[in-house]
Amino acid sequence: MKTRFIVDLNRCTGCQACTVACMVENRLAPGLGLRKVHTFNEPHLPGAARYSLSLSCLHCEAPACVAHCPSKACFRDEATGRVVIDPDRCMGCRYCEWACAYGAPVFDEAAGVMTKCTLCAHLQEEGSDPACAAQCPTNALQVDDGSRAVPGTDQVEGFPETANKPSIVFIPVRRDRPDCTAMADGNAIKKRFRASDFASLPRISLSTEWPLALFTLAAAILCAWIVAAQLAPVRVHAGLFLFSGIGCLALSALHLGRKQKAIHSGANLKSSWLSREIVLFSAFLGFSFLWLIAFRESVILGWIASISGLACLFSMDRIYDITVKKSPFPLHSAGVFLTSLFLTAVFTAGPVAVLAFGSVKLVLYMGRKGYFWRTGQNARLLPSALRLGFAFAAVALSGRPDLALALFIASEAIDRCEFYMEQDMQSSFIGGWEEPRCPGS
Amino acid sequence: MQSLFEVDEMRVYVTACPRNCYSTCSIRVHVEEGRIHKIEPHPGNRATPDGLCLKGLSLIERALSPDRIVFPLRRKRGGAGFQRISWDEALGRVADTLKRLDEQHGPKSVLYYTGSGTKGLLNQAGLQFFKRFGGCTVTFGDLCWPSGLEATRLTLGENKHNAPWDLVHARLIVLWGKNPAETNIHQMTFIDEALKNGARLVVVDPRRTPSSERADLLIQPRPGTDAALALAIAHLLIKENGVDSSFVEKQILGYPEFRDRALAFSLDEAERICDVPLSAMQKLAGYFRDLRPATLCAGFGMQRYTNSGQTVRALIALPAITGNIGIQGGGWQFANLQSYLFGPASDDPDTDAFRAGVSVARLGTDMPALDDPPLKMIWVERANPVTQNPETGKVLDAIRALDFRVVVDQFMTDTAREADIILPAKTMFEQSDLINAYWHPYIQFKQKVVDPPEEVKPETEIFALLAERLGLKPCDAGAAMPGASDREVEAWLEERLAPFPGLTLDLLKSGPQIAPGHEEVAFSDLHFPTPSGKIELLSSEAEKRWGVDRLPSFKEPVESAARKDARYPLYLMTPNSKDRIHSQYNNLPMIRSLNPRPYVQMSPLDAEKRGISHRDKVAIFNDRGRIQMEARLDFSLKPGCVVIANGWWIPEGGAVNFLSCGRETDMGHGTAFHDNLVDVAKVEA
Repeated sequence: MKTRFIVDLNRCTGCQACTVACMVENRLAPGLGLRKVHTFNEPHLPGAARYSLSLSCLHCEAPACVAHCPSKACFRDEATGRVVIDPDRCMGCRYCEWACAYGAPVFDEAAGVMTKCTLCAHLQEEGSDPACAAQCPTNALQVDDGSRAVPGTDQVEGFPETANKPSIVFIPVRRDRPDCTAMADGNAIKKRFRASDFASLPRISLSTEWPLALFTLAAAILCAWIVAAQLAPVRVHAGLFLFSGIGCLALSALHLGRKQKAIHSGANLKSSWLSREIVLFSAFLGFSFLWLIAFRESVILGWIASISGLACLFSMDRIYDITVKKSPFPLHSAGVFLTSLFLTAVFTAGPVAVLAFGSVKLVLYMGRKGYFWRTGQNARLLPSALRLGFAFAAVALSGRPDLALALFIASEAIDRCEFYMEQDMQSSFIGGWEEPRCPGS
Repeated sequence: MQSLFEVDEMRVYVTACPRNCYSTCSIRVHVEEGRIHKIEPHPGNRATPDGLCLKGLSLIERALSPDRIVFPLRRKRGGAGFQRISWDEALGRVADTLKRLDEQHGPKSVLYYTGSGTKGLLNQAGLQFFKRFGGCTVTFGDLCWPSGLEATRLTLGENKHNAPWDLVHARLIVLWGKNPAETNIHQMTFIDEALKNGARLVVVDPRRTPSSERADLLIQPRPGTDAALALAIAHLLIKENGVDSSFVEKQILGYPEFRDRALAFSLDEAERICDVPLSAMQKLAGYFRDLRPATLCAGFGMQRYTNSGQTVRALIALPAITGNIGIQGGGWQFANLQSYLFGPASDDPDTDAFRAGVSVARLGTDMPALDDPPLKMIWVERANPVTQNPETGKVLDAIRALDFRVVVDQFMTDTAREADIILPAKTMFEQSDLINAYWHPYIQFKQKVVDPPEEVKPETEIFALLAERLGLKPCDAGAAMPGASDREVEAWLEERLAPFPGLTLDLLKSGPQIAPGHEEVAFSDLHFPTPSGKIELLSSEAEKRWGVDRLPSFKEPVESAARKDARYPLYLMTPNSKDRIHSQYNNLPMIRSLNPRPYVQMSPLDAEKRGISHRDKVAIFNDRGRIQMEARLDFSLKPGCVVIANGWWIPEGGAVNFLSCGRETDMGHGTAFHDNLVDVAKVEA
């Protein structure tokens, strides 16, 4: 089977015939593009090359989607070299969309599952090339089995650099740009360029990810509650805990395209932090509930529940290793593990621990805001003021623990929401002008 | 498809795309159980072997679109919306109106308006019908290319050029106002081959386009000043020993006069007029001097100015004086009409019966100005004049002022919306026809592969039924038009091929065929069918027929920002984009998903002066109209120019011809809608 794409950047004009050929051949709903044509230098900056990157799934040798898929719906067919999504296992969690730097997996709203380029296996079985290559009007896009030596390169500017070993070769441009006569002074025009004008819209946003924000924060609170109960005489209301825990599970399933397939979500403990998180969260709920209703005296069971909770939160933080962050700090003040430690301190009312973890959070938060301010990004002053205001009010109201707890949680909720506003998918940066900043992995 | 083919199983048909497009691709269509299953390129066409463009690939979606008009429609009483009616009612209403208007005002009160929506010999059906009806009013001139055609005819005697694939032999390629990456994608393959062989590419365009990305030089003149640029380059060639003196002496009429004209044109002035640095002109002149063969490919947009016939004459002078005409890899490429073999099926329309009273360029002003008789009815076919002719506001008024409007179309276009009766139009898959091309030399058989859906009837049948209803008799002995059946259509087409021995429908069913008499290298015999038999840089005919200078010359366009009386500062360019052919295709969800909204591109310098940022909502306006859309900054666009792709529909907010003016070009009765000054302002949200 032919699995390697060869793209001649001299010949590709960005005509999008490949995109349409793919839609026609695979009978895709309008807007469901499995092959996209990205443009490097969209704004036409003088003195810089402009070329088109026609990309679909690149059938990587070490695919990120396969490593991160919690349900093992994504797999690499070793016999053919194709990377495939099994629609019967896919639960539509869309995490492969985050994991893939090339923007290959696409969510099919109608089916509720992810879909992507199949290399037109049905055509290849008949001896034809995939539609995109077969229909390319300039023959800029070709596929082969990788055995031929191609005078190309696997890396051009604007194409994401990863360790995934994508199956693509570019034939680089012979001459990268014309001498333009429009502007005597190209610098005058370049001075007016703001990269942010041309940045693509963030593909991760609070408006779509709010169930995750709520779920992750709630998990941190529940875990802190159980841990605190091991350290101090903190009362845990079993009914409320169970109700919240099940609420959390429901929230986490809310964004799945096919909720009934969630059963497969723990299938990839070997390499998926998402799988680990889901299994550990279920374990945490189960052990905690058992401890609460039947074995309240068992210190061992209490600590097993606590540790599975903390391990779950650690996994939860790791899930976001694959996104691109707007700030360069390796730790986020709204990381759930840190938040849970802080809230544990609040629950146990240990002033030293509250101060210690609170200070860490404050430093991280202020450091990040300062960075946004310095780099001209939106520092979101109003939410910041609220977040800090709530936290300091909680400290001031430490005489009334319930109110203080509520204020701390409100303050943490703001930070967690901001966390989602500061993430983006790696694939948003294909062809872009800014290098993706500090990808986590 | 009962009559001609058995279609139980998958069958593959050879056909051709009938759009008004350089490429006119050869296509293979797979049909299974009466449904089109797949389309793919036909490798037998050397000009388009590799693949169709995105529009061609969407032809199935187009034919099967749920938005397609598949029944006759009548405007509802009260004017809001349309209702389905029977063919009987539709034809009855049209026939009654034609009869009444004929009695009251005479046949010339009916305007028969056609465009370039689909190509084919059967398009003559309408004129044949009106001939039997006793005549009608028709248009003269064209929206597209007449000034370039006429300028080429005056200079070289004929519109033809080397075969498309010959371009790989060029050592210098100049794309002058042409953007093949979006309008003739298959030419880019030949350009790339030439570049791989070491050729130089120069693009002349105020925009930086996908066609200019691999160029050595992009010259960005002020719009409408191309003649000045060409004269300056000729000046440099003459001064710097770049003229092929033996070719010039033998083959050119009026070289000494042209030489004096070019030398009298000062380079300082050219720099000022074109706003192009002398160094760039020197570089292009140097290429012309040193690199042979050189091919100059001119686009159409540059010849839609009021001075453009003279512009094109100046452009042709460059390959001419450098001896690049008639050689492999060289020449002047504007239109290659070597496949235009077929004349009208019967004699030319009787000039008395037809009144050529409306200039296409001035549709909105000429229609209401007609008298004796005034226009009462319009029949529109293969056209969308509301958005595609200049001055949409006036065109709308003129059409609305009539008593009765019939529109034949596949979709509810802005023109169809104005109709009293809409008749459903066939697609390319639903009737056979013969197709020629204006870039490559192939004759092609556009085959019927499926029956028309629902109640769609081809125009030949519509006109036949209408003639029957009106009791019209055929006016010449041989049937000017075929009968309704597929067999009759094929027999009629076969008859058109009769003068060309060896060229049969059977042969064409196997693949595209090169037109008889094709010259791979045009003018290689150095025979120029001009009055003098030479290349005429000095043309008395140009002066006599069009009242222009006998020599190529530069004059500012009527609407130019350099004129003292200019009322607006920015040149609005309205080029075609890869996403549509004029106003066709963008209504299909597949194409729309790639480019959903109109936008205006502008230089950051012009935007800054007006307080406009990237993606702001802006108004583009002049005395003729105003449209609103998103602004996008383009850092390589020539300052002073703004660009909106043409073809957006009125409800989409991007109908650019609200802003253009109905003027003719200096020759050929072309349409000078690119003489179009506007201003842009931010719209406060």
